[in-house]
Amino acid sequence: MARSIFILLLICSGSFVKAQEQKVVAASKFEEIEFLFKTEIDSVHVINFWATWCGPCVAELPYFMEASETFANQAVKFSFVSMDFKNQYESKLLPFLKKNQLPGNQFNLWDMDYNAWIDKVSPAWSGAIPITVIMSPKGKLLATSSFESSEELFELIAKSLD
Amino acid sequence: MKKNFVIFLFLGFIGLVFSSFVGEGLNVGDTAPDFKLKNIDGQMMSLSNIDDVNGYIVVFTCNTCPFSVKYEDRIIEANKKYAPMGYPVVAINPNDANRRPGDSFAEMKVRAKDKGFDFPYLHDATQEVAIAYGATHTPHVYLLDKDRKVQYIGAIDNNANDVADADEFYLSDAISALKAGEKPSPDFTKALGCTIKWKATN
Repeated sequence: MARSIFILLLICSGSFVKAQEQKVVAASKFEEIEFLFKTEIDSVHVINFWATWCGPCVAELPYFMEASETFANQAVKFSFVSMDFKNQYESKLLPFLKKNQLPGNQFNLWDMDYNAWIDKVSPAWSGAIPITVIMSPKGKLLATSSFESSEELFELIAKSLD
Repeated sequence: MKKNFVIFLFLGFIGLVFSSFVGEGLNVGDTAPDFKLKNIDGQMMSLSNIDDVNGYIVVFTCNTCPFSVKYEDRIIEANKKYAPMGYPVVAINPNDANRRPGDSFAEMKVRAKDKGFDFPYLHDATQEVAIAYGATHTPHVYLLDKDRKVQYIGAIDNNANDVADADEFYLSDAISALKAGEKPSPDFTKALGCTIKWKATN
């Protein structure tokens, strides 16, 4: 009896973790996700801005999946900030994420006052998406255009690791 | 004499390399270069071809970028409102049609007809104008005065999704400032947009 409860708990906790992984945090204000760009970190954090309707963004997403596998045993975290509009959260973003697994944490940023927060990510960012920001103890690295291959992404992550 | 000419050429070359690779482009206060691009009516067109203006609303945009599509009606409105005041819209599509077939010259004509564009929609086939201006994404607005001096660079307003939710109207405010003989403030804003689809360089 105790054993089956234990197994049941195990299964529940397992599915709980899984559900957590799929969770999308919707943020109305940039300030709610600003912590992602804090420089005092001890690991590498890969943050990608994208949208379901941005062709070059979607095309490079598989590279991040590959990277999460390649760097699975190293201190590399992933976060995705979707710029899908508020009225696309249910209709586009959630179905997309159900079909396409992305590593790490999922955010959907609805802060439309772009000019107020683009420079907070980086003054070097023009505002074009996709963009990938790699935070590490060494600082902030920007990839301001889409990756042509997974190797390009691996290289940047490796550079931030060593 | 000949030596001077070589040096001049060399400096010019350095300048060209600098502007195309560093991508400096234009800043507010710079004089924007004129250009000669093919309009959707098949005619070559320059800013100097437009008579009796107080300035130009040059907007880099395209058919395919969702941000551009969101702003299409607002660009049409801007021309209806500001062209009679001497600030016509001049739209330029800088995307490489090989990478984005929906931005080909033929597709531009279709889009302009469907939406009833009553302003030039020019094809920057070599992307030289986008490079010279320093455009990075679509839509990307450059407001010039009649001397082609850059007075404002950036977004049209602060809500791409819905104009009804916007509460900053950067472009309108900038034009109002110019009309009042003042400097626009802000004169530079940033907005999300689609990366210009540059030609493969090698």
